[in-house]
Amino acid sequence: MADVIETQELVKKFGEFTAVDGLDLRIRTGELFGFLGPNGAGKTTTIRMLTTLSSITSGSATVAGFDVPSQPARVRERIGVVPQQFSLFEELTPVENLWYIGKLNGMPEAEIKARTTELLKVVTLHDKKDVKSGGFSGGMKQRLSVAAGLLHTPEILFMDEPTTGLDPQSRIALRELTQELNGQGITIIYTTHDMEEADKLCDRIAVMDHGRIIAEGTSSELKHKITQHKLIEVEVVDPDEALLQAVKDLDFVQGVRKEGDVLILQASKADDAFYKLTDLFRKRKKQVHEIRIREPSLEDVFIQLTKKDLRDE
Amino acid sequence: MAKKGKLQHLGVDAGETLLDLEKVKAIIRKNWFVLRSDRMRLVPMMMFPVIMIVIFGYTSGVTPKNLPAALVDYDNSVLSNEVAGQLQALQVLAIEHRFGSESEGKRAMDAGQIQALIIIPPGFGKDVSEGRQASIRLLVDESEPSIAQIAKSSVAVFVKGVSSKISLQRLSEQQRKAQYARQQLASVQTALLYADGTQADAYRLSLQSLALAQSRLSSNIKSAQASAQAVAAGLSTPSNQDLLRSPEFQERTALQDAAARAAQVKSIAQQQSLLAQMAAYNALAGRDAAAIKQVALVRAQMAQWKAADAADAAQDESASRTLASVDDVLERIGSQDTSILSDPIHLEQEAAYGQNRQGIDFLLPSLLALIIFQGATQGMGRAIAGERKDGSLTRVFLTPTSNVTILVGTQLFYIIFETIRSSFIVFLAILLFGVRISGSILETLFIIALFAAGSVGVGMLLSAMAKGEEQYMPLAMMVSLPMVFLAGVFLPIQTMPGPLKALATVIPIHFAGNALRGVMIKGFSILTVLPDIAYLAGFALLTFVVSLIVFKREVL
Repeated sequence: MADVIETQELVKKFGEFTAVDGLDLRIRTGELFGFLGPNGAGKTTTIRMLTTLSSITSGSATVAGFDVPSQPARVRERIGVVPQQFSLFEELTPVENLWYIGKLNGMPEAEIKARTTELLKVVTLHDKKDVKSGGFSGGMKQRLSVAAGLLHTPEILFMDEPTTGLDPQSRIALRELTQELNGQGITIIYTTHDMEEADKLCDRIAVMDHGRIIAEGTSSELKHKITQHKLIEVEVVDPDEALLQAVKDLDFVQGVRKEGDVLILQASKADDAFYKLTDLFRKRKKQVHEIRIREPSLEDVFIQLTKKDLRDE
Repeated sequence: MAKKGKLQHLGVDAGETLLDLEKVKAIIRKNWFVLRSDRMRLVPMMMFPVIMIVIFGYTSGVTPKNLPAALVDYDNSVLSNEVAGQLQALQVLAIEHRFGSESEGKRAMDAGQIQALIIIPPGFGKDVSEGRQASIRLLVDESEPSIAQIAKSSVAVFVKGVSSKISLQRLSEQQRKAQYARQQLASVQTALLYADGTQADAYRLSLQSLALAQSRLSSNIKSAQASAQAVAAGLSTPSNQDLLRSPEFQERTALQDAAARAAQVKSIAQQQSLLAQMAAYNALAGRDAAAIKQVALVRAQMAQWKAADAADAAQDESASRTLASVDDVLERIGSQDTSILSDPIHLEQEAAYGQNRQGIDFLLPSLLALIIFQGATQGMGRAIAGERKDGSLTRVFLTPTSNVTILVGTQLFYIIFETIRSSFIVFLAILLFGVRISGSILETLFIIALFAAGSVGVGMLLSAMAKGEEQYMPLAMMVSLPMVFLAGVFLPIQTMPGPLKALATVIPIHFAGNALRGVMIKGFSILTVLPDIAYLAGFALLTFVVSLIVFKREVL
């Protein structure tokens, strides 16, 4: 399959701050490609550069075969975008909004009308087509945004954290819609900081942190990277810092983190791990509820790669 | 419990302090951090009061100086030259030109070279010198009502001054005449006092004593006559005849009778008795002669008195003549007093552009320019800055639509909107205030649209600079509010200090006001105000080009 997006050494600087730091990327036609990373990792900035909304400091980027800096209008003709922030006119109804976007995309009136009817059915907003969109719920606004992004039948659809702030029901609906669109052959670039979402949705995932791609591959490829380690979860009563340190000091432990009363250990293959752990807790008079071995998730991959928690920052 | 209840009324719950100063400090600091981080908002907010105080401070209560004016002196008399000289000394007006005719002056006014034209009509000097009411005419361009008012009142005060000077001259002339009349009266009074007080009284007294003396004498003579008659009855001697015939006795017939009878007296005894009688009579006659002399003297005195009386009468007559003339003078002074009270010089004020124009007619063009500018700058916040902030501009950026297209489309809408809005204001002014448009309505609309383009351009530029409506508003305020004062609607431009005045005359609102005034009020063709039109077109183009440069497609 041909690459529909390609970047080389893509850099974006805001003054001294480097938001995107030498990004090399290849996205194939028809892929549902995910950018995974915490807020501030450079996902949105990358999307903005690729969608011509933000200038490129250095490096190159081609989208749908067009050079982004020199042929932005050509790029815009071929892409659709669902921005993070609702970006339609709240004073206008869905029909009016789509008419305006259609006109700006150079579409004939009849085509706008047909596409509007079709898309509003797809995003299940047909019964609200003449209601001012300012009063819509977050999910409805985001679905309208998807319709606006798809209006001119783009080859590529960029979706920048589309599910952020939505209730679970709306999230599921939007994910299903995304998969449906991808199924129709549209290449989708999807950014999220939700590991589970990326895991379930995306064909391939690029994990971003500090403006760089730190890992790239399918979900299973990424998970495989950390399977040489075992993940051991220990549910213990009132784990304190001293205990945490003592666990960390065990020879087979590569890393440890605490989630409530659960300690999550990355352990190298050591047959005596169970023995050593129970011995430690007994000596320290700590009551242990459960010790279990876990399969790694994308979150574990992220933590392994970045050496930090996945909490936003 | 009661206390707690009270505090709960004030929104204080358990565990809270009514007024926590530490938290108050934190809130104050937080607000400062918020403001500090938004320079685009902070700077205009700080600059705004500075601009206000500068404009207000320098423009309030200052009398304008050296308003350009011209003089037409049709009279060219000594007095008109003097008045012209005094006009030069006026601070409010600067008589920069002297024209030969009114039409020349009006042309200069049309061209905006002068704001006031003073006309001294022919016969001005003659009217004043002959005590008639003369007039000076004043033509004022009321385009700037406040300035026109100042020019008018300044000239009115000046004319009043000249007028009262002439009034004073006339009054002192009258005083001189009154003084003369007063002197005349005094001399008459003196003469009368002298006549009545001394001579006449003396004459009257002597006349009275004389009359008394004569009446006594008359009664004596009567008794002498009676006794003489008695004597004469027996006395008729011829020797007495001569005596009796003497001229002194001729008048007295009774004595003649007595003498006749005396001649007939026969007896010696009778003769002796008669002689004795005669002697007595002679004595009386002597006294009578003396009385007669006395009477003659009285008569002479009487004649003298009568003469004196006549002289008095003559004097009286001359006095009454003098009085009559004084009366006449006074009456004339009296009648002239009222003419002195009315001003010797009357100021005829005329509006240069139509007599039936009212304040709003002249205010409307500047007001309209101001409204267009204000409306355009206030409304453009939503246009670009607002859409940028709410993200809808991002959606536009995602379409293959050029910046020029976006700006032209946005700008055209607001130009059309402002033109319709301003036309509505003009329509309202016509309907409610009876404003008359002297020139072409179509040309007026064209100027409105052209100025709206420039004003919308300013709004567009600011909107392109601002990150959102919150930033836009202070920016727009900083630009648009000074215009309120610099437009010359509320504060006269002429009262401003040099730099502000210079600024007020180069801002587009000034040219828009000029062009609109020319067409709407003065009835000019649009060609007459072509320089203003060219400026406005240039300004609109400039703002568009700068907006295009400032307008960034970058989404941050």
